[in-house]
Amino acid sequence: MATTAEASNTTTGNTETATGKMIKIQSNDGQIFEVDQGVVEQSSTIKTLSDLMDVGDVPIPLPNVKASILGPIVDFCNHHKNDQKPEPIDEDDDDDPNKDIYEPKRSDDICEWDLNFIKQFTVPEGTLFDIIMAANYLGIKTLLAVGCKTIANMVRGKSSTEVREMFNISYDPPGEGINAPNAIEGQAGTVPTTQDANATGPSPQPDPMNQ
Amino acid sequence: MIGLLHTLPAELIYRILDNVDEITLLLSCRNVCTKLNSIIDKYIRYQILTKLHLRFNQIDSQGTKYLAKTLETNKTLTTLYLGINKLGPQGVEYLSNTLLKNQTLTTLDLSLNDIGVQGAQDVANILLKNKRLTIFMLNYNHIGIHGTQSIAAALMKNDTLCTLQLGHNQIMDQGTHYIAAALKKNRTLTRLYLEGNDIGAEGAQQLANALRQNQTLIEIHLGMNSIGSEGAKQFANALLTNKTLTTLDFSNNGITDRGVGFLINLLAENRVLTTLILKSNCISIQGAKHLINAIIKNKTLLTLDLSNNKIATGGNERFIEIFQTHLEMKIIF
Repeated sequence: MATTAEASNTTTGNTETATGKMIKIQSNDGQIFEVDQGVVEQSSTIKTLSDLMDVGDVPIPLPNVKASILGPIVDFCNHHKNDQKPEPIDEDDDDDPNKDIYEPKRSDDICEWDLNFIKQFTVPEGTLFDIIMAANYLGIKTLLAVGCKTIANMVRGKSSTEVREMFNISYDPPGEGINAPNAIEGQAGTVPTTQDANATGPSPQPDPMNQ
Repeated sequence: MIGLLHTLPAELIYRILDNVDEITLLLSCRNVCTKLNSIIDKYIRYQILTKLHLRFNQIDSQGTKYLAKTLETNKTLTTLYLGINKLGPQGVEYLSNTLLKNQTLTTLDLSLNDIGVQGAQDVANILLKNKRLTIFMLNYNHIGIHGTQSIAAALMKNDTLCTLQLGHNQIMDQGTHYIAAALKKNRTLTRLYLEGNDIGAEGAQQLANALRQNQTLIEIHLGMNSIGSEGAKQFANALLTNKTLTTLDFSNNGITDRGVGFLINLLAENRVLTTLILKSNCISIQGAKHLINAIIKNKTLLTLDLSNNKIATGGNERFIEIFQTHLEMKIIF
C-alpha cells in the first residue's frame, strides 16, 4: 500500500515518465491546459483517453468542460496529486461488500483546503453543479465526493421550502415539463452546460407544494 | 439565477443523497419538487426506510409540521418514534391532519410530549378516522380525565388499534370509568397500558366489569396504581368468565395476602392466564406459598413475578428451590 508521496508515484506504473511526461487537455471553449501524470492519474477519463490515443503533442479535447471549470479542476488535482491513496473513495466503493449501503456516508470529513476550494463554486451561478458534473464526467472521484458532500451539508436541517429556495426550484405539475416521464433518463450521462440549463429551466410560477 | 438541481442527472442526485441522513432525506429532500420526489421514490435507502427513531430530538410543533408534510406522500414509513419531544397539542394537530390520509404508518410513539387535554382531542380524531394505526404510545402526556374521555369515546368506534399505552396520564378512577365503557364496545384492542394513573379499587371494579364482556383484550398493565386487595378481588371475580386475558400486571398496587386469597380462587378456575405480575406488593411468604400451591393445580400459568414483596428468603430457600425445579414455569422472587 502506498503510504508516502514517493511510494504513491511508484504505483502509477510509469515510474520513469511519471514526472516528465506532460499531456495537454483542451476545454470546450478552446483553452489548453498542460498537466503531468500526477493529475492524469486522478481522472479516469483523461487517463483512458491518453492511453487510448497516443496523443503526442495534440491536446485531448474535453467537450463537456469549459475553461472556467477545467482550470480549477487542474488546480484541485495538482494540489491532491501527492495525497496518499484514499482506499474507499479511490476504489469503487459501490462494490465493497463490507459497506452498509443503507448507512449514510460521512459528509463532515471534507478537508480545509477542499472546503475553501469548493467555496468558489456557487448554486446561484450554477458553477457548483458544473463542477460536480465535470468531476463525474472526468471520473475524479475525490472531487465528486467533495461536491456531493457539500450539497448534502447545505441541505441538512433545511425545510423542503428552504431547499426549494436555495436551489431556485419551482414546483412542476406532475408529468409535465421537466417532470415528463423521460426527462430524468434523458438527462443521465450528458453534462449540460449552465447555458442549456438556463434555457430549459422551469420559470417561476405559483407553488402548490408550498401550501 | 441558474443553479438548478434539475440540471443534475439522477445518478448524481443519488450520489448526493448517499450523504444525507434519514431525517434530512425525509424532511429536507422530500416535497421539494415532483422530479426530486420521483427520484427519491426509487432510492433504495428511502424505500427501506420503514422505522424512524426521533425520540429525544427537541422536535417542536414546527418540526412536526414538516414531518406531517412528508408523511402525506410517504408510503414507506410504518413506525415513527416521536417520544420525548416538544410536540404539544399543536404538533398532534398537524399529525392528526396527515394521518387522516396516511395509509402506511402502523406504530406511533408520542409519549412525553405534553399534548394535554387538547392534544387528546386530536388523538381521538386520529382513532376515529385513521384505519391503519395498530400501536399508539401516549404515556406521560397530561391527558387527564377529560382527555381520556375523548380518547375512550373514539376507542368505542375504532376497529384497528391493537395496543394503547396511556401510562402516567392522571386518568384516575373517573377516567378509568370511560375506558371501561370503551372496552365493553371495542373489539380490536388487545394490549392496554394504564400504569401510574392513580387508579384505585373503584377504577379496578370498572375495568374488571368491562372484562366480563370484553373478549379481545389479552394484556392489561395496571402497575403503579393503588387498586389494592379490593381491586384484585374485583378482577379475580370478573376473570372467572373471561376467556382471553393472558397477562395481568398488578405490580406496585399495595396488594396483601388478602388479595392473594382472591387470586387463588381465580387460578382454581381460570385456564387462560399465563402471566401474573405481582412484584412490589405486600405479599408475605405465607401468601406466596398458597399462591404457588394454587399454580401447581392451575397448570396454565407460565410466569409469576413475586419479586420485591415481603417474602423473607431466609429459611425458605429450600421451598423456593423445590418449586423452581418441579414446575415448568418461571417464578421470580
